[in-house]
Amino acid sequence: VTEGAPGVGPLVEDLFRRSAREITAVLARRAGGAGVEEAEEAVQEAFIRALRSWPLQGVPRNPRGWLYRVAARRLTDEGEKGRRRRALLARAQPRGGRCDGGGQQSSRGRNGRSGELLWQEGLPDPARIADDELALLLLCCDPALPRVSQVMLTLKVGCGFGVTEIAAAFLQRPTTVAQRLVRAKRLLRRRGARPPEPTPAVLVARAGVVREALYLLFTGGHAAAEGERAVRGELCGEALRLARLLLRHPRGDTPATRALAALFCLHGARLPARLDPEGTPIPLEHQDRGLWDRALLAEGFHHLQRSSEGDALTRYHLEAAIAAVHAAAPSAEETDWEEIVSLYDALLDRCPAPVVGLNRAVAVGRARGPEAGLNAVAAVAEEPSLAGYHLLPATLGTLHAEAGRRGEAVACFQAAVEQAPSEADRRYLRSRLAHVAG
Amino acid sequence: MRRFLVLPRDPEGSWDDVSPAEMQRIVERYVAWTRRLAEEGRLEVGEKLRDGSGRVLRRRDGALDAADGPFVEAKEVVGGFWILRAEGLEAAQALLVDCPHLEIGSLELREIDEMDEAT
Repeated sequence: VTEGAPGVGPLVEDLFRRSAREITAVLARRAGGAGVEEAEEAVQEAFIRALRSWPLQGVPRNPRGWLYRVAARRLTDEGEKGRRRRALLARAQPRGGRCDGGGQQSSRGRNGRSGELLWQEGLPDPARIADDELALLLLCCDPALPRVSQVMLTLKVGCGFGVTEIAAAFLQRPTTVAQRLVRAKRLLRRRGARPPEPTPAVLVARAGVVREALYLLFTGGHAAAEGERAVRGELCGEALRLARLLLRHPRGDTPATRALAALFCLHGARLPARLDPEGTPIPLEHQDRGLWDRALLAEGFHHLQRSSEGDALTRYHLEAAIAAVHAAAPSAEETDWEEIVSLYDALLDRCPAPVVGLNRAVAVGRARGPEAGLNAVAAVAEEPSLAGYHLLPATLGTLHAEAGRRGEAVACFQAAVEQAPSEADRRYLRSRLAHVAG
Repeated sequence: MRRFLVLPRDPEGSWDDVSPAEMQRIVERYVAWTRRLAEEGRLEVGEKLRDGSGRVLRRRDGALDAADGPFVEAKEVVGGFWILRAEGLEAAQALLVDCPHLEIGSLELREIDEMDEAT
């Protein structure tokens, strides 16, 4: 198929990743029973063919359509091969004999035909692709899977990330991630899981799990305390994209999902200001607020407003509301810190995590002065889950410095530097240390 | 201007661990390379050869013996070819120095022996 002279066709940004997740979603759902693994394999084959032919013949005029056609045809061919093999085996079997692995494979064979029709249709319209992507997301967030497997599977098949990229995001070895993915897919296969129809019942049962997985995906990208890059904007972008996908569905568009989307938007809007050119994190109070993404802030406020329809009040509502107070403030000094403290109080009621208590203490220090802040830190300082957490001594250091106790502040920042998980964080804390000591 | 045949040999090993984003970067490098050659009037044509197709033909005891080529299972498969224009072998080689294929496989460079009409 020569659809263009060598090097003529342009290559749109993110073509492969986008195609990976879209085509996998479409094929897994509509080549019937093909399942996620077969769909992924077909997509991988199509990609390899692209790698081997595009450099020589040029990029086709419609690269996405090309990849889709090749992957769908490959799935058809596989179905055809299976069908022929089974026909041969059936003939070879004595009458009444049983063909090995009959049930599952025959359903795949039938689907070969539907796959054939599928690739002749061409790439479906965006609304149908979105529907398939939502179904795939619901599959990845099967409640029977451990949370981290849900998130990794979502990244792999739902977002088009590679194993090495996921390993980097989770600070695990690629082989560990690969094994986890294999186990997850095996479990899904045992449960006969194809992407479920996003029926009301399925959405009601799984939306909460999906939201938690997306929250973990987002915070993994946003906090990303560890690793070389302190902010993994891509993960945040994917979490927001998938939240929007959930919102687009009438049954997914609930107050909790809106609050989650608001949280992603309001936090995501700050990402452009969150790192200096060297990749060192910049705390909220020192960020150039002019760099915040206005469009995302507006979207966040819109979702937040709509999240208050109904009685639901989730932790996403409270976290989004905290982010909104920050987003609405022209500067750190002009922030309504008392409002933030009361929102943290409500959040602590709902989810009494020590790290939430620590964040509350920061707000208390801002609202009521360093001594009140230090008292609030004392309430959580002995919590085992905060042991070794660099932001605990860093918070103490800031409060001691504000209270004029330089010696204590220096000691705290020294401890924080030692506990910092990434080079970027160490750089930031060393600069704070130098500032306090000087 | 003389003409040269370039045979890229596919790399050994698998693409299974290559992420979609990395695949995109690889293709982008090829696109940039071929586009530049095309703009400079150096690239005549590029074609991909069909995988697992083709035959090796021999006459054996008067009969035609058509076998699937040794290329089918060969470790390094020629996936296709480019035809380039250059002043000479050295100039042709210079065009290949930054060919992205060298990062993953090897290239065979051959000059097309043009028939000299004068002789």
